[in-house]
Amino acid sequence: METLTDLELVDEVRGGNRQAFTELMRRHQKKIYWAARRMLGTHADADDIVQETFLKAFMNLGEFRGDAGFFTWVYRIAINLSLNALRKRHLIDYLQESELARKVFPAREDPQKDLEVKELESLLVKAVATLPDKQRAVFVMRYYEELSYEEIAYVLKTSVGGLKANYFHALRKVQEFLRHATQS
Amino acid sequence: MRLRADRSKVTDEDEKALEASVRELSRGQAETSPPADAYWQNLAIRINKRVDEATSGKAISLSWAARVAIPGVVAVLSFLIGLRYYAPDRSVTPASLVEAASALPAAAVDSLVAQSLTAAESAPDETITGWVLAVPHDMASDYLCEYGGTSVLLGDLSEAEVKHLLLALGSSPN
Repeated sequence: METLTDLELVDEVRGGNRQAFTELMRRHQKKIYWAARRMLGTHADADDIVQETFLKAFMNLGEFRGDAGFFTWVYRIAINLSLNALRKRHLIDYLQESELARKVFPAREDPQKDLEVKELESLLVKAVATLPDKQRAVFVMRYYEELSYEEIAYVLKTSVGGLKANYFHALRKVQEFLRHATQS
Repeated sequence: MRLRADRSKVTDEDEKALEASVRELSRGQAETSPPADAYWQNLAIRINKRVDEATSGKAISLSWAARVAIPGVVAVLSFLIGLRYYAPDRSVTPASLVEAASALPAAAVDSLVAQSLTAAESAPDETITGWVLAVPHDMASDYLCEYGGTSVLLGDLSEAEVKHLLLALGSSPN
């Protein structure tokens, strides 16, 4: 199994070989995990995303055409799931802060939120958490994973055009955050 | 507008310089703690378990139930409940006016009679003439004695009405 390429393993999985899928997971799980964790900030969220990503990949393997590498395809699933999770989180935050929510749900302690704050131990992670969703995704893929703009465009289903400016703005915001944090 | 202007100015050198600055600033920071080795070993096992659940017959049947059976049963039940409570039941024949009136409480019947009498009093004469068929005997006698025209009247009356009228006048029909 270890000597086979990703595409050969995909063919094996399509033929019913589950061991081949386990090998694919073993190869890519760490990168997927860290992408999700850098996007979402917490281990629990990243764990959810990794599981969902591979489950979705297995169930939709028939849609994988091989025009991009298997990793890029799975990575796209993970980034999209992470962006969806961020959107849900924003919505929940918005609802919890709304006037109606305050009336319906009186203020209470949120241990999960406290845990999340503790987990954001790195200043860089904190800085990334301040970025808008798309900039955050571009930053994670470019800064940490060093993906090309073409690969990022494939993952985000967008054109290469705006990505460079997106990354530049993200870098500037992170730099600003780090400067401010280290000075204070 | 600022975004467009900035986009045109960004060069590879600018990007690399900024990136280097960020790496420099974040150097020496505590990195996010990675999960334990056991986590990676168990991860594939947990995902495989979820894949098994998703592809097993139980999951498929549950999925089928969720997508087809349960909504179907709910739709049929809703239709039947709607039919029972909101559609008119045509199997029951409507009650006759007499049955309906006899089913009413005595007080309600009295009230209806009083209402109809009030209506009759306030109605025009010609309407009352059309309504009231049974004329009291003495009134009929007085009318015919005063105005005459008995033969004309008799021609328009039926046999039963003639008998009734003659009785009222105190004569025999023959």
